[in-house]
Amino acid sequence: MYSCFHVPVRTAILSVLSIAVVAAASAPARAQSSLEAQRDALFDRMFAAPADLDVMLGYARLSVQLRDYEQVVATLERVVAQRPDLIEARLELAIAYYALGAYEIAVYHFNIVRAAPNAPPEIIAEIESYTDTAEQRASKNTVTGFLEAGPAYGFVDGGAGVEVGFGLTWRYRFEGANDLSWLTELRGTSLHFPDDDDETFTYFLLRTGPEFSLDGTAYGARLRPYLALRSSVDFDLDNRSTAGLGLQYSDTFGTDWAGFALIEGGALRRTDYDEDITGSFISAQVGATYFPTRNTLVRLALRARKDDTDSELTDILSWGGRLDLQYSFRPSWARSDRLWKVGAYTVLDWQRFTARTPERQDLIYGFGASLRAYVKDDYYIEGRADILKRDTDVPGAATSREVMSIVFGRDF
Amino acid sequence: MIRAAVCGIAMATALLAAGGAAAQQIGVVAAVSPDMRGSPPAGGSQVKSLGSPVVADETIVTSASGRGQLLFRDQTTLSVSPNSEIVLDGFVFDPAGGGRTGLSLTRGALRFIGGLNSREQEAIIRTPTAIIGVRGSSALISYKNNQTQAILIAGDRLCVSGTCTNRQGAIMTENGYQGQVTQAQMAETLGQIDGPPQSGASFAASQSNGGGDGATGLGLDGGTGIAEVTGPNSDPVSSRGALRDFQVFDDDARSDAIVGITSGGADLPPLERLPEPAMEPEPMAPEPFVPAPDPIPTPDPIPDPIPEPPHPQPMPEPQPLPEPQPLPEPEPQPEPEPQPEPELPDPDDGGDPPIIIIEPL
Repeated sequence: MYSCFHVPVRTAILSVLSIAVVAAASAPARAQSSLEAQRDALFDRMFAAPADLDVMLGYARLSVQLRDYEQVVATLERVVAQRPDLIEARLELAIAYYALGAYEIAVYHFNIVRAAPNAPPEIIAEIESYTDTAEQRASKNTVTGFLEAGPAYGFVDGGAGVEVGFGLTWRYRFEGANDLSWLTELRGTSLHFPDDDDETFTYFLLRTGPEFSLDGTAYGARLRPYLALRSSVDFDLDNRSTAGLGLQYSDTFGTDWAGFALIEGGALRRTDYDEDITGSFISAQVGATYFPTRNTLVRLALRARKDDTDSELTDILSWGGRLDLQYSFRPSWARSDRLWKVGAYTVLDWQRFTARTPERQDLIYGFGASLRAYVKDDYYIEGRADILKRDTDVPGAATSREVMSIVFGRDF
Repeated sequence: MIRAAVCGIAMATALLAAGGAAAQQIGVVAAVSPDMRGSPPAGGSQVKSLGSPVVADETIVTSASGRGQLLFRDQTTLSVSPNSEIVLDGFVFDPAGGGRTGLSLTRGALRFIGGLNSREQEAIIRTPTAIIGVRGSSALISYKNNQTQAILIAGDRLCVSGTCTNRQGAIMTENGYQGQVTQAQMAETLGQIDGPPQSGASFAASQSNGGGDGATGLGLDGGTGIAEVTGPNSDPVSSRGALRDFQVFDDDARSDAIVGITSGGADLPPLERLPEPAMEPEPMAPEPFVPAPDPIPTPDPIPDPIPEPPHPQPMPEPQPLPEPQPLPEPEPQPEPEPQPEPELPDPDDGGDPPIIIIEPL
């Protein structure tokens, strides 16, 4: 019998590392109170001497660090009013408005900067990138996505291969005072290893449904009922597909926290070794995201799922969690104004095959890392490494996948 | 008589002190061009210059060419357009929280950028025709031709006379939602509040004034840093700094698919592929078992069940079916019965012997 306490050493190390990273990520939060005290002191000085440009800039800088972009906007509006010749101040004002999602007013200021004499070409290009995206986000119909492909390598099995992926998100905003959208997402990922079909898979997801505010605020609780179709296909003809109805909930708590929950249920079908298995599933997920800084994200998701099928081989109860870390940044020498992203995750899931005699238990664990670098404009290179293992108490059935890939892609 | 006079003077002094306390400073003039006038509740109209204090219940008036900005103690900023009149009649600042922001716009236009007060509770702006509530937000508000118009710039919510919007760029009037602001409308409104943008402002002029050190620096010690933390692909942030996690339901799809789990929980993992044909090293019948095409259940009971193996053994490497082995001594082995559920059946299999999977206990 597999014991849940028999956690591999690597997983334990990963867990410790994850906790350490989370602890490190919380350091900025501890520094926040110090920043707030500094900013309060600067505000008093600014209140006493509202024409002091250095004090205003210092106050705005601390407000950026505290992610209080509304105060950045307020301060830069005063700077622009007092020093309309400082065109860079207006550019930063436009970016600050953009950061708040105030796209129409951001475009207004971007256009003024773009019309300035002697505006450097790199500034013009940056402004066009902002204004294009702003107009896209503010429009009634928004279609965004990505397309990527590149070489992959499976270290345990697979060998040389290729990874292809695409994503398409269509958001239709209904007319009306409150933001009500219909969101449809299509995702596809395929890892293909010509020399080892067993390691090859293709995964598709179609999810569609409305999204609306529960409390009438832009950043409060949101709900999204949806229909989801999922399918994964192995090249040795193992097909797994689900059709489900779900409900997503998300909310923000204070400045640094966001929460989410999900429940989904529906029908599943599986074909394995010429066996056609049907049944139902229900899954749930709950978690929280912590933003210690504007561009740092720590997310913990706990999840559970139950499959009831007409085959005792695949009645499964599973539960586990996933921890994600992500940091966005822009190197000063980068040729794109898009933020690079470095991320890592670790997963740990238990699975019980409840109808088997004797009952089978699996442990799935692993971790991954990625770095997305924008080369120019919307073009990126992303390196990924995933090490995922399935331990089981059935001898000979354990699997391991260690995949590394480098994809070249474009956002649109 | 003298005592009465002393008492009267004392009362008058107390009243004056109370009046002074009521007219406590709530803000400061943070920008003015070229002039702006203010009328404190206890005084006449006076010219406001940069740094002039603003007190509670003061009336601020701008001329046809005047405009200015007010900075309040809770960090609220008001930009006042020409030909405007506002009364600061509802501002209470409490450093410990619980303050509120309220004012009346009797004519003209203003830009409201909320501070600490409006994050706790709605700021209230009254016009002759509407009551506007602003929560965690910035807005452009105007009153002209007997009509109130409010545009939600950014933030959580804007309400006009009971009808609310959470859609940035929404135009609201007394008659409700009027659609999304266009660039032309935005330019017109901002032109009314801020005036036309200064012509001739250039990067070259800016750098000569301040010696800029970067593409987006202010020309004064490198700017605010906003350009370093925000890019076109950044998600928006609320006025209180809250972020949504837009990727939360997507990030696990790829890795879960790799290992056989899909988003939201575990999908069906691959069936375990046992070594085939896996045979336990237990006594075997002398002949390879070949089932009848349609086995007829026999009522004959099996004399003795097949003994359970004492302990699970590691599965051996796949090997061909073993040669017939002699029965172990001393007890004879009954006829082997068909296994109830072969895991890898092949219904179309006509002549090949089926693969028998025996899982260890």
